[in-house]
Formats: sequence, C-alpha cells, structure tokens
Amino acid sequence: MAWTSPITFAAGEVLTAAQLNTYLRDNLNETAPAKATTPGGIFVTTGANTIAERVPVASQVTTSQQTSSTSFVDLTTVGPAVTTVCGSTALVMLYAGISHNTANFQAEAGYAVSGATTIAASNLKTLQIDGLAANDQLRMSAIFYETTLTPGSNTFTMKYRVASGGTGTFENRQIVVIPL
Amino acid sequence: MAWTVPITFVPETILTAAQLNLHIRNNLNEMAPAKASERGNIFVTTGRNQIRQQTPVFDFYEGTFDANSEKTSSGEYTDLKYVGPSATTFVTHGALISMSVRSNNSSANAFNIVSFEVSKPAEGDELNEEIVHEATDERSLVFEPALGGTDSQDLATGYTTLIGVPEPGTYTFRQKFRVTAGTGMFYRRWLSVIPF
Repeated sequence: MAWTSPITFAAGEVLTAAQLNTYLRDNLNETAPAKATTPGGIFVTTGANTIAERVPVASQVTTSQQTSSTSFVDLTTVGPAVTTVCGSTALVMLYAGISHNTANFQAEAGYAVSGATTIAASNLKTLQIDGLAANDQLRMSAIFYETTLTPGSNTFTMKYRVASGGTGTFENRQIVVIPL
Repeated sequence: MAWTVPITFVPETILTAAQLNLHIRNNLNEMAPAKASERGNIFVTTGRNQIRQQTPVFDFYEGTFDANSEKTSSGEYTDLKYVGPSATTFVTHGALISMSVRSNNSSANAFNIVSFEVSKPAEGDELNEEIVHEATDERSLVFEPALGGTDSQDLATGYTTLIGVPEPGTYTFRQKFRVTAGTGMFYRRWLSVIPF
C-alpha cells in the first residue's frame, strides 16, 4: 500500500468500495498511528508522502580501559555499540572521559558503522584530547550528523586510538544514535 | 477513543454511521493534526497504534565567573544557590538530555563534576518529589583544570545522553554539582530535555 492523494468528492457521484479502500483504508494505514509499534519511537519522512517510525538507542560501558594503538581499535570491552534501523542519515552522539599518560599527547574516541553500511572510524568524527597534563582527564561529548548511510539495520560501535604513541585511557563511554 | 484497523470496504455493503465514526472519525482523531496543540512539539510513539505530542523543554542560568553564590566545595552532589537549571515535561519512555556548563576550580587538578537528577511527584504527595535517577558520575560533565587559584582555567563543554524512565509521567530534570577538591565555580549552565 502507498499514500494516494485524496480524491475530491463530487455531488451526485456514487462512491465505490474500491475508492473507499484506496482513499480511506489505504491512506489511514499510511499514518503514524497505523505505523506506531515501539514506545519512545519518533516519526520521520522517508520520501514523498511516506513516513516511518525510528527508535533512538543508547549504550554505555563504564569500565576504564586503555589502548596504545595508533589505528582505531576496540578496547578489551568492545563498544559501546547500538543497532537500529536507519534511513540514509542519523545523529550520532559520543561521550567519554579521556586521558593520556604523556603530557600534550592526543587520544581519540570515534565510531565505525557496520551492517547495511560499512564506514570505518575516522579522525574527522571523534572526541579528542590534546595539550593536557599527563593523566589529566577531560569528559566530553559531541554530536555528528551521519549522511552516507545505506537504509536498513546499522550498527554503530565506538573505536579508540592514540595519535602518536603512549597510552590513552577511556572511561564512561557512551553512544546515542537517533536514526532519521 | 483508540485506533481501529481500517475496515476493508466491500461493494454493495451499506455503510453505517457507527462504522464511519469508528473507522474514519475516531481514526482521524488519533492522527498528528488532531492532536497538535501548539508549535515546537514533536510526535512520538507511546504504544502500538498510539502517538502523543511531546514538549521539548530547556532552562538556562547565566551567572558570572566570580559569583561566590555559585561555588561549592562539596564532595557529594549538591545544589548551588540558583537551584538547577531544571526543566519539567511529560515523558513516555525516555528523554534526550543535553547539558553545557562553564567551570573553574581554586585547586590545580581538582575535578569539577556536573550531573543531573530525575524526579517525579511522590505518589500521594505531589508537594514532595521522588528521585527516579540520582545524579551520578557515570552521567556527568567532568572538568579537570590543570591550573587553579585565581588564574584557574575556565573550561566549557557539553554532555548529551539518552535516559529511560520507569513509567509514563511528568518528570523534572535538574543539574547537580560536586568537586573532588578545592572550590568549583559553575556558570553559563544549560539544560535541555527532548522527551520521547
């Protein structure tokens, strides 16, 4: 079924069952109440005259863990990670407490996408510390607008690295995704 | 009224007023335009075939960087002289919380920590509140200025999270503050809540 632009009723015309099914039944079935299934869901447009329910998701790993990798990797506890059905875009929010064991060295937390879409973690979309004293921590968050998703079920997983050596520490790691 | 799966119309069947009221009037009244009451709201799912208008809210306290009233030396989460910022709205399932604060501390390498508490009217006693989520370091902004004293670094940053509620209802979200040492100052405090 799809939305059909509602008919303009004319005086003296007899409405048929087929017309009522097309303009009333089928159109009602394209509205938000007909599509609502999951509490906390939101509605987004997916094209001309089409809407879909999307469900915001979040996950957190509180454990403090470390890496000395200069490529984006998982920590001992992988993630956090969330899976949700998206269109071609989503809002991705990252949060973490980050420190480095060497003064003025960089440590970064980003995310990768898998499932319907494959996107590697990139230093263009990260939380980052730099210029801090050794082992000083900054806890921060940032929001990224992801626009190159393949519609469908996508998994977003946080990834971590240091820029040029030493050891970065990451704790209270959280990811929130609002699929659009 | 509730949503009813629309009837499939059959040729030569006489439609009754009851059917039209059930399948057309009542269903139209369950849709967003029928429920929309004021601008700036969003629509969310509240259950199968159910949607609801929800109201995003926010609060802001500016203060100044040297206002003694907005300082604390407490190691436990506490209020400042201006309690909050805080915001109250109806939440069905969860809410997107966003905070931003500017902060400094009198002691080098002390932590300034900002979290939020979620409460609702106590059952049978609406003058008092029941805490649903305590302020916690696991959901917080953390500042660790390397300098302290009168030249203390001034840092501004933000935090966003998605938090669930145990049941649909009206909830209040309120910022809370603590330090690990020294005296922390907190100003330009933002709090916004998007309820789902």
